[in-house]
Amino acid sequence: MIQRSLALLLLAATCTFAQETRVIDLSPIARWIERQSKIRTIEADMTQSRALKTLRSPAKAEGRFWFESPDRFRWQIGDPPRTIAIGDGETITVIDGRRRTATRTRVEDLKNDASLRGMAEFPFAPDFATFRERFEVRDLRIDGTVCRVEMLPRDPAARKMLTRIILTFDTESGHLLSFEAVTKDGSSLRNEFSNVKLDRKLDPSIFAPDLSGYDVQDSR
Amino acid sequence: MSRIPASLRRIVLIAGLALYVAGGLSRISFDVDILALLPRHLSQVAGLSLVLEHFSLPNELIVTVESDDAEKTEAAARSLADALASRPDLANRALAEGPWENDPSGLGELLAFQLLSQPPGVFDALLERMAPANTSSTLQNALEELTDTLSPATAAIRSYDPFGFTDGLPTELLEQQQDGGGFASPDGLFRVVYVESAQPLENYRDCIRWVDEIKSLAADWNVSHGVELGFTGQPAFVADISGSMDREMTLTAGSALLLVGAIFWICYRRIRPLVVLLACVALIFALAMATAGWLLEDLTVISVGFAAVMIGLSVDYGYYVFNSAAHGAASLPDLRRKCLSNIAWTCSTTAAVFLALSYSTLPGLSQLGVLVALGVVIGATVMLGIFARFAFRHVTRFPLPSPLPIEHSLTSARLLRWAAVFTAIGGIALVSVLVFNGPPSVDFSANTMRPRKSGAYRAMERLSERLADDRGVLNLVVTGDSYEEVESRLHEADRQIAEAMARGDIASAMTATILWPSPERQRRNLEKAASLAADISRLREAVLEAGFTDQAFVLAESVLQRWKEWTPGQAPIWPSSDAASWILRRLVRHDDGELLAAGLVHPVPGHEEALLDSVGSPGIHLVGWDQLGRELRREIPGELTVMISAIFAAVVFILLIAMRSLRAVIFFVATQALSLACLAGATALLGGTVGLFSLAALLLLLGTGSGYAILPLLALRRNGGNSAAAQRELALVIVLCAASSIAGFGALGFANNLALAELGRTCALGLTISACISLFLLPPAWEALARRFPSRR
Repeated sequence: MIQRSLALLLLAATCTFAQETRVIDLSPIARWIERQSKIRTIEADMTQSRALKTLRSPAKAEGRFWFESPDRFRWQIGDPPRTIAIGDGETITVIDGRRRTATRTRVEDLKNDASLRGMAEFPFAPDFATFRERFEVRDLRIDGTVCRVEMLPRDPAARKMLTRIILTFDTESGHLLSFEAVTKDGSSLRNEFSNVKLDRKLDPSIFAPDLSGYDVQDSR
Repeated sequence: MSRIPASLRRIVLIAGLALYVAGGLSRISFDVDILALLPRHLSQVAGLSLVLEHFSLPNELIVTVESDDAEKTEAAARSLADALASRPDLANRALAEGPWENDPSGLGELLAFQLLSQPPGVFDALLERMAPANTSSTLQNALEELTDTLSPATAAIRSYDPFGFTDGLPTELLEQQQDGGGFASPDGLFRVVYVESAQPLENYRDCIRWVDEIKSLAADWNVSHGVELGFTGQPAFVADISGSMDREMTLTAGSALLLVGAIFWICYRRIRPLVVLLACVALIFALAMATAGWLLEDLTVISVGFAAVMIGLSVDYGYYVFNSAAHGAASLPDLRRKCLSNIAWTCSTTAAVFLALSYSTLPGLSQLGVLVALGVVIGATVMLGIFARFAFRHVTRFPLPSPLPIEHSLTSARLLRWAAVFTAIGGIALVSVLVFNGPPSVDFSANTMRPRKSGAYRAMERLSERLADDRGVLNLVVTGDSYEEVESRLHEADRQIAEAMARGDIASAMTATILWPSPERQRRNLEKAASLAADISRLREAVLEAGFTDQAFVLAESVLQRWKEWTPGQAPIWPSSDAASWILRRLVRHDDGELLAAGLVHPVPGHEEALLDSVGSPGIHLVGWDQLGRELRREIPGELTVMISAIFAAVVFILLIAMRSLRAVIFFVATQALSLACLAGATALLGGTVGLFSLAALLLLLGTGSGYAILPLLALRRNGGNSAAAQRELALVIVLCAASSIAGFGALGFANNLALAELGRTCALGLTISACISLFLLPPAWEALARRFPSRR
């Protein structure tokens, strides 16, 4: 009986060790990033869910997302839009449609705003080497054509706040399906993408909103 | 009345002296504040003194914890805080995280307090949002904001504050608390534990004992944790600096005593007189220290140097007494008579010059002047009263050879010739350095006044680097006699800051305006909030109905609960929770009837001077350590130059009356000028800088070194201009006096406090130069000139 218990214990320990030291095959991520780098434009519908300890159920909002290589994006919530974030590689402008205000921030000044910085660095990294420098992949699973990656930023400041980041993408189409950041206080922010269209010509006005009538401020 | 027996009189005298010394020594305390060394009338000194006096937290030790792993550092900081908190005899509290982490309602109390001082319009709008008719729409708006916002900070605040209590209030304070709140670096590798002493630390001895106990406990704890620890904060500074002052006072005095003893031994080769001389010096030291303890409140770091200076000066009287005894005194009264006039003259002139320093606007230097003046008077009295008796008896029983071997060597023509050549070459070389390399660089920064080695400084620098980089930041201090006056001055400061910001002089600023209470508005707003505070359950129901959880109502409940507890009659109301007190402790002060508010201003680099001109008015001080250095550089050289010139002019005037010779005065001035030029050259050559205390050293040089030039001039007159005869007469006296003074000042050159070391080094170097020029160059130069241009008189 004791021998059997010991054997089971040993087996359990070996399994745990094997799991901890399992080498994760990152090639799906490398291929996905490689495909992302060739994409010229993205246009997608989006659902944002924010789960908080102070809310009985997550707060959900519909929105839309546009990206144009190399670094222009527009992130819009609500229709008509209530909140818009537009980036051009150098600045990010956050527009509050209800209050008629807009705040411009230089990308280099975004050290303390992980959320906006994440947007500015879409899609996570320009190449696989940079991705590995920035993120530690904790788990990677493939279910059919859906690849689910659980990871954590290597930046200690970001690590202090986050429990995990979960990313899912389609291995065949290369489409980003969802992105979720879970913080240490148990809150999370999840964005799901659908109706993704790649490499279509985008109207330049998408990235140049008309701010007349808005109170525009520069933030440091 | 019967006569008291001599033995009883002696016992009473000794007992009285022992009591006097013990009482005086027990009263000695140190003022480690470097601002105590500086003139109080300077605006930066006055402002920084306010900051240190009211916001430096004298009972709070900061323990820094660092490792290369964030989780390890966090666990270690918590464990250390627990270990310290488990010793209530040592620590009142030890915190590794903000008090609000365990008691968020404390932040609610702070918010309740802040809101009460809001203008009626702002406060009424908040009440309106929570009125029965508007509650539902307010909560709906909050939900929409939570859904739409891209900012995690906004989401975090709104989710706990759906009624918008924090709307319109600056959120920097709240964000600061969320972002480590002064407890952790952004990467988490560096953390801080704040430890408050169980008992108030009354004096420097309490600080040293308490900090040592904490360090010892932490060292034992760290055996099993292996993290890097540092100790800083006001008690650590006091312990570090006072401890080194205590040691230095003993060490510099001890080493000066040793050197003085060695010089005596080299000259006279007698053990017993040497032992008695050292015992007399020790007695002088004890008496002078005790007198300092009785007369002065706190000794500053510079006055600590007085011991070595005083030993160097008062031992001169001992040499003189012994030398006079050795060169034939008929009786003890004869010896005392012969010595009295000379010692009284030198002692009173030295004491007068040092007393003149008491008029200096530099308190440390003024204190040093008083102490040395007292010390030399005590020294002269002890040497004439006690040492003369022993010296006479000893020399009568064991006569000394005449001339002494050392005297014979010192006055050989060959040595004097070579010494003159070397002094001339050295002088030319040093003046050349001055001419070709320029004067030494100038440094008036506060760094020149800090200790050379200090764990507390190192830990503070590391803390600034990793946690809160406050280098270059200016402190704003606003004072006033009433709440209304402070508030109005805070608004004035905000206005001045806003204008400076618009001009591009300020990058960012934070003042305590939002934290300053208005008793009048507190009364008015509390009355208005009374009905709402009674409506807590309705508001909670509304929050839950809107889709929030209980946690979303914690902040609101805490605020409303406080408003319910406080009454208008209590105004001015201050929060009392740990969390609120913690946040307020560095920003506002209202104890002991003193009302102060603080702030921080980040200037745009290069705009500091413009800022100081534009921000500040009565009761509003904008100050910084770098600005202190600039102010000292601007103000002090002028003040010291006036003082040095005045003392120098007085010495020249006295010399002119005493010698009635313009040529002697010209020689004196030329000798001092050459010595000064050589000192500047030597300082430049050694890579030294000119600062506040090297300028102050010039005053001491005037007090101790000018005599080296006066003595040869007097001797030349006595010896009909014969330089060799004058040198024979004075060589031993000048060498002995200079060596003992150089030993005294030189010992200070190794002091841990950089200002004291600078003072000691400059004086030792200056005295060496001055003695060599006066003894070896001045007499032959006088003779050569007299031969070429014979005096008409």
